[in-house]
Amino acid sequence: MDLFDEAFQRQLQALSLVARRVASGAMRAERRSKKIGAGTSFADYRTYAPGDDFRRIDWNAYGRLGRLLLRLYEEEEDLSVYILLDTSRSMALGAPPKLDYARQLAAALAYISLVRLDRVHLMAASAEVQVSLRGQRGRQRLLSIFGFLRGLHARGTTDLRAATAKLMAGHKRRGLAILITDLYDPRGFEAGIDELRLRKLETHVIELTCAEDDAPELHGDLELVDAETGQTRAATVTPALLRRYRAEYAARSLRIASYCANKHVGHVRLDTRTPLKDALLQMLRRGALLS
Amino acid sequence: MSAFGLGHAALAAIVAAASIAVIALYFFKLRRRRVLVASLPLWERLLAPRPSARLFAALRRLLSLLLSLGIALALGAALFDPQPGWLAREPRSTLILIDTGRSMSATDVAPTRLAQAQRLARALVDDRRGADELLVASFDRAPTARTTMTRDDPVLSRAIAALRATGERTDLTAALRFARAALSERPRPELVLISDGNAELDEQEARALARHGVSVRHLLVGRRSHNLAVAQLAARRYPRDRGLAEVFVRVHNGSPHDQNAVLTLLTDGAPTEQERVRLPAGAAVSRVYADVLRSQRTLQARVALADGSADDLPQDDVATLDLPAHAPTRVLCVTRGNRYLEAALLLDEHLLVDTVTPDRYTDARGYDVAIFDAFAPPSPAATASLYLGAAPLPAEGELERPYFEQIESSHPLLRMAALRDVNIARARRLVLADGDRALARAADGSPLMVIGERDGQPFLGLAFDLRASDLPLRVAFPVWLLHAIDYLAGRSDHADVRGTSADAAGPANAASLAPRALPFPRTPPARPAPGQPWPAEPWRWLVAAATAVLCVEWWSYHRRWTV
Repeated sequence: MDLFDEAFQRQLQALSLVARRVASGAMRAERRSKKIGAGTSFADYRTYAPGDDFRRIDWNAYGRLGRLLLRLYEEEEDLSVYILLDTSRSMALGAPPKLDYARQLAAALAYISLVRLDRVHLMAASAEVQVSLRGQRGRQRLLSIFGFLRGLHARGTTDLRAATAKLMAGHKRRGLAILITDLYDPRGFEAGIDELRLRKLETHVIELTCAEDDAPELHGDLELVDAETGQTRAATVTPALLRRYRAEYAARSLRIASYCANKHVGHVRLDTRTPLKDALLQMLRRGALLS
Repeated sequence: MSAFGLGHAALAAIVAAASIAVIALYFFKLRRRRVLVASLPLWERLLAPRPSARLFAALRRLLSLLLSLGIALALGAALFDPQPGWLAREPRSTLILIDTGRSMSATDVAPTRLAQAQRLARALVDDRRGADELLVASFDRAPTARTTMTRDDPVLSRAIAALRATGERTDLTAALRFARAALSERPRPELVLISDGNAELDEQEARALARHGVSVRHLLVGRRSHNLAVAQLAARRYPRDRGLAEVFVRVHNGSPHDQNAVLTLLTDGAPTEQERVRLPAGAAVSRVYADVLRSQRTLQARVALADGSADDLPQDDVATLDLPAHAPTRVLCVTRGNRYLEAALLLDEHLLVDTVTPDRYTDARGYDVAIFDAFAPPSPAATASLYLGAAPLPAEGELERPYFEQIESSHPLLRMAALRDVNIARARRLVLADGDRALARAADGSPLMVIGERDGQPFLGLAFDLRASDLPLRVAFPVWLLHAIDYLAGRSDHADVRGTSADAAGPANAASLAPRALPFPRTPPARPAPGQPWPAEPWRWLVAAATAVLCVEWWSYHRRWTV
């Protein structure tokens, strides 16, 4: 089944209509920047100096004040959006697999950014494999983004810090970093997030969960196998143990949310059981990620 | 508690094997299913071993094992077929002996007495418990075992269902002798005799059963005797006119009331004689019919109730007699001349006699009988032969003035022939060969009259010449001579009789069907004890318990209570 079939693309178009943002930049993207430049939005006045473009003289102000004043406008600047996908083996779990959900999510976010004329950088990483698709701008780049995402597979273990460090090397522009992951990093989920924060990127974390993560339907004598490392552990899963697991998982989720809140990192938990369209609309309405 | 199922050793082996299999399967069941999880460290924190949890988990698994072993032991105990104290008893060996004689076809009990006997026998099979064994046998003239001593109820039932009444009289003495042999050295032997009692019983044999510790029950079937029967039917030819026969019929009234009956004689299916007779209760009436043509093939005697109703045993209302065919006998008489012999041969007009002198004798082909009067042919004749004084046997000297001392009077040859006072001047001392038989001997045992075979042909020989005796002067001579010719030619006056009771030695009360209690303890037909708890055999409870425990174990396993 093609993740990016016609139905999915129609969903993207519908979502882009919902997402309305202001952009500014040297390439006339639809985001505002704090620079004063040749945009169309009025920013301030300054005294006319010989050599200034006299078309920008505010004659109304001269009539009132008797002074020659220039109108200043905000600079429109394109935004760099860094979308990082966790492609470790743990992302293969779930029905649908979390990686498929993440790919569709990344495609949707990339599409919205492209529509806004943002510059999209896609990166996929596990501890062993890191690939990227850089500098995609304009709607015409959507197909190449689809192609890149189709080629991703769940492989390797999770090392968010190393992966982000490697992928972000060479990227100096500030922008928006969106980390799509299930945060099963044995070294701790904080490392990868901190790596993005330290680069002065506006960081958002989309934590993916599935039924197998928070409410596994397990019973009896089992051999638990770690999806990433392959380590095994014999266990007898009883209803009591399951209750304890769910409590432990909930505590972990709370820790993640608290950490992100403390570090001013945007955090959204998406369950792969939630239809993607509903999840995106929820994020758009909240406005935290895409504003 | 006692066990009546399999032997102890076999059961112990079965239970041990089942336990080993259960334990092996239990460990097989413990193989764990592999499940992928996103983060094992998350589970590791929860799975840190706690002593109490480990112990509890071990106890849960032990409970599962114990449940499985409990199922195996319950099934093994069921195979053991235990009997609680209130049911325990030594197994019984029972012989069910069912009368299948003539009178069991009577219809005074619907549909027949034999059917009632079969019902009673099946009830006995249904009542069999535990290790009790049964043997089904039937008896009429002789006993016949239908099964072995077995606990297989379907086999017993099939044997009972296959029984059919015969037309034979019953010999209960032989049946009791069989019962004694079948039940010898059996635990708690019991004989259940199912019969209408219409049989002769040797009380000595009945007492022998008791001495051997066999308890006997007689289940009586039948309720009345309402029957007429043709007790005897016989026919014989007249000696002087073989073309005619005399027929004897005797009918018997077996009911306790006088009966008016119609007696009919049929020849070749056509009634030739019919009369109404009054039959007193329990009495017989005889009739003799003279001058019945022997050219007929069958004679049949029928008796029926004058009012047209049927009696309880229609099979004995008819007796049929097949008359042998009668054709002239060709006789070759080789003699130098013997008026007595020739005159005797003239007495039977159905003899075609050719007479030749010894010097003109060649062979006897084409004749039924050859008579050699004081002449020994060079070789045995190719037909039955009568040697008068020249029997083809070696002789060791002579006998002087012998006389008939030992005579086999019952032989057909010697019927109605008085030979004891025959005077004989001299005779040859014959030496018998293998297969030869002396019908009459002298005082010293020397054979005077011999029968045998030579070259496949029968012969009859006298050890003396007729002329050396006064036998030709005796009345016995022509009687004996004609009997000898009939015997050698294979002619018989005996007419085969077909009928249920018509034979020469038929009993005087052939028609009686009266049920008779035999001198054994009499019991009513067996019925199951009312109110007997179900099931009487504990093994069924054990199987039910094993099934219930199996369901509990299955449920607890799948609910993860015991794993």
